[in-house]
Amino acid sequence: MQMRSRAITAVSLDPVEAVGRRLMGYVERGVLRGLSGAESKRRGVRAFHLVWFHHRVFELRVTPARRSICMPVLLPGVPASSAMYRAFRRFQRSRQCGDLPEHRLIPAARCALRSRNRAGAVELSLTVVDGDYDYATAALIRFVNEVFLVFLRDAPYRRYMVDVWGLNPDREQF
Amino acid sequence: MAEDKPDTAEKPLKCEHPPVSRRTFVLGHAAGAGLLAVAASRNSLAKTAEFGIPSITIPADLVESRNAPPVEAAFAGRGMTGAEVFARACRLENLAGLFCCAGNYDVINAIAQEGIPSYGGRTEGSMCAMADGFSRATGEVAAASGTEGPGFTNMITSIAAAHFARTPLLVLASNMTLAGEDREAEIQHMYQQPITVGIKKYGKRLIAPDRVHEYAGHAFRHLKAGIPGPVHLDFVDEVASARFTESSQLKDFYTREQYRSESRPCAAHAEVLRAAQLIDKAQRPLIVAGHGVFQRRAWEELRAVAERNDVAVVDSGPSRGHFGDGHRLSANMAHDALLSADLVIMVGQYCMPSPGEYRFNPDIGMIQVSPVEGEVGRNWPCDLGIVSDEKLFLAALADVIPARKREAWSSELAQARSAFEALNMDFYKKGLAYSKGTGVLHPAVIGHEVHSLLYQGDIDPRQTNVCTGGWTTGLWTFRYLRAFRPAQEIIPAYQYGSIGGDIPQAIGMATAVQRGVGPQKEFKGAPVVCVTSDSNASFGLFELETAVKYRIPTIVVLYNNDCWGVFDSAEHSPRALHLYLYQENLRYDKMAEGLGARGNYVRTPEELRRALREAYKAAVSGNMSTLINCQGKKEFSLPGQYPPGLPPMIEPGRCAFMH
Repeated sequence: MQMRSRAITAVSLDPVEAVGRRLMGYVERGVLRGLSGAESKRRGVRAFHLVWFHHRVFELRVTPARRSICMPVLLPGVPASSAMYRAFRRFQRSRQCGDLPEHRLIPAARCALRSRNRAGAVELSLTVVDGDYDYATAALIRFVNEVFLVFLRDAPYRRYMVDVWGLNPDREQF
Repeated sequence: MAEDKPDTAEKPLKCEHPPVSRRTFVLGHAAGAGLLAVAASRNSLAKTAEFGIPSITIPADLVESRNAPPVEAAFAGRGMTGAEVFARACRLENLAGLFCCAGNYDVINAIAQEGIPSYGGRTEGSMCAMADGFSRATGEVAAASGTEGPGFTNMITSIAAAHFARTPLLVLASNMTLAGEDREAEIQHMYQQPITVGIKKYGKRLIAPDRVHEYAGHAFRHLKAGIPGPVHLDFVDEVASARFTESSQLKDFYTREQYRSESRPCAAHAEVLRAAQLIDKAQRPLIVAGHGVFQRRAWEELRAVAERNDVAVVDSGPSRGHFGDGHRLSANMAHDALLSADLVIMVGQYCMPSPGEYRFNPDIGMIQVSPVEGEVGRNWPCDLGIVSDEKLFLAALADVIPARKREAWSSELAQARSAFEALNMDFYKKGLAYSKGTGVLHPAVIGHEVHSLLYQGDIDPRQTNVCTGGWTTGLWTFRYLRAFRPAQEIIPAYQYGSIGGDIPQAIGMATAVQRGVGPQKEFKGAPVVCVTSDSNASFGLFELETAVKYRIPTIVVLYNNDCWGVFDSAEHSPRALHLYLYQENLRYDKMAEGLGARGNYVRTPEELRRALREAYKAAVSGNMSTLINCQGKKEFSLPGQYPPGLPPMIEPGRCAFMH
């Protein structure tokens, strides 16, 4: 079932439209609980706002000129010097060249995942190497999905979720 | 229900012995190798008796009462009371058990007299949880009862837990007169029905005596059709004590074949074919076999579908084991593989998660099968929704799904299960080091030792029923317990997350095992092991007395970390920390001994190992219940001091308790 609408959203589509269509598909699947239209920003950047995990709003920026899709604040409150940030970087690498089954990997030949730390917030960006924004959007969504369902749950980040995300302790990592 | 008669059928796993006092029992069996340690254990009841204090005794009255023959009420002669009419209907509907406290006298006495296995205990809330545990272990309808006012309100938490677990629980609570309810005549008046709004499937205050049989029909229609849930009936005294000398005095006095049907919704052939096509087209399909698969006893049909097309399966719901942890296609412990699934088929998943709550990839396709039309598409949009009875759907699917092998998928599942076991071993080694360093037990060590006893020694791994709960305890122990056959495990905290149900639900399950009801028939008489917490014990510990008096062997392994497990919530609120703390080194084992059970206090893995073996022997050979107080420390939950603090909690599968 993965990437099943790829045939509909061809590579030739406008990048912003391709990203928007794919995101809308996730709204229809119940993955995203809300989605704004593409807001125009400076230098040709378009920004979507996604309501997703923990009913939080995530910004997703598309910069066609740089073939980039970016989430400027994926994880707030993660200092650059922290073990958590180092673990995140390892996790990110494992999704592009780790021991996972092939169907779980994000091929670097198609999308290059990058992260950096900006004032204690983890920024995630993805370069659309082959120009397929539909696939790239799906890959990004899949990766972030694993950040919340695997990275934040398998390691001892319960306090982080309570302190930074304000979750109720009874909800464990949800 | 021949299987339900107490103390008469053969019990191959236990030694028969007369209903004597615990003192004479312990002394009389002390020469037996298995119980030498029991008699010698510190503060045994035998030792207490040396000081002239009478030992705890199961009274002869109790035994005689349980062995008294049933008396079925009849219209002839003195006639039948409303309570007796209702009790008769319950018997004809095979009500599997009544768990109650004193009160609602006409009704509970009538039900017991009819021959329905009945158990009296210490608090209504726990007895209601016991009924729930019995039902989770059998799929059968069980009843709970208390007196009208405080007895009923004591049950609320347990009714809510049953509601969220979709348990077919019959709640009965009555006593007072309709005539007196708005005069506050005497005591304990309570207009009950508004209080159970939102936590019941159906409820009615019975005020018309001649409709009592009709409402029994309403109750069982709801209890045995569609998605189950609690039914709450309260009888005013005018109904319970009304007397009928002819059936014609009762309205709608129909047989059960007339007032309800066993007919079930069945998927259209085209829908089943469509499902089969989608499954066959998928690369890595996964069935989430929910509560409905257990309730409808559809485990053989489930296995047929899975094995024919190599479909992975996760057990789900408050009862576990309907597919089983040991199967090569089980994904219960294959957490790493869950994100690879590209199609999920939710069958009888009554408590639907939302996307993002299960460890699935966001592109996963969804087929949902529910017996109730209004539940299809709830919370999680589906690609194909099918309204069908779970058993009928799986049987039809097994007939049409193509035979197929998925070597890569089953290999990925196997690797993921190995990774899970390796992680458990890693946790155990860490826990062992922490235990040696501190002189008290880490919960991973408790989980590992229970696992070793039940699944890696000379006990058949399929024999022992288990349950666990509590925050710290549950999160750790879920990983180490196993379910290899239907309802070998129940999840007391399922969805509602109430603290307090563990011990009484375990005793309810043990009652079912003791009688060999339904899926518990194969290992009739085996002990039940409950791993729980000190916080949990605050609510249910007293029912150990109920287990002892009915000789229902229940082994409670209690993790004592001197606090509410969520104490770290006060990390940034120093003045609030005391709200979460208890006295340290409380002796729950002593409390258990005071209630007639065995008690053990352990601080090391070796002591725990020995105590577990002794407890198991005492349970098998003498139907003895034991509480093992495992002293731990709260700091084990802090990842900064004892990483990982708490283990990962992943849904669906082995560690799941929310959905």
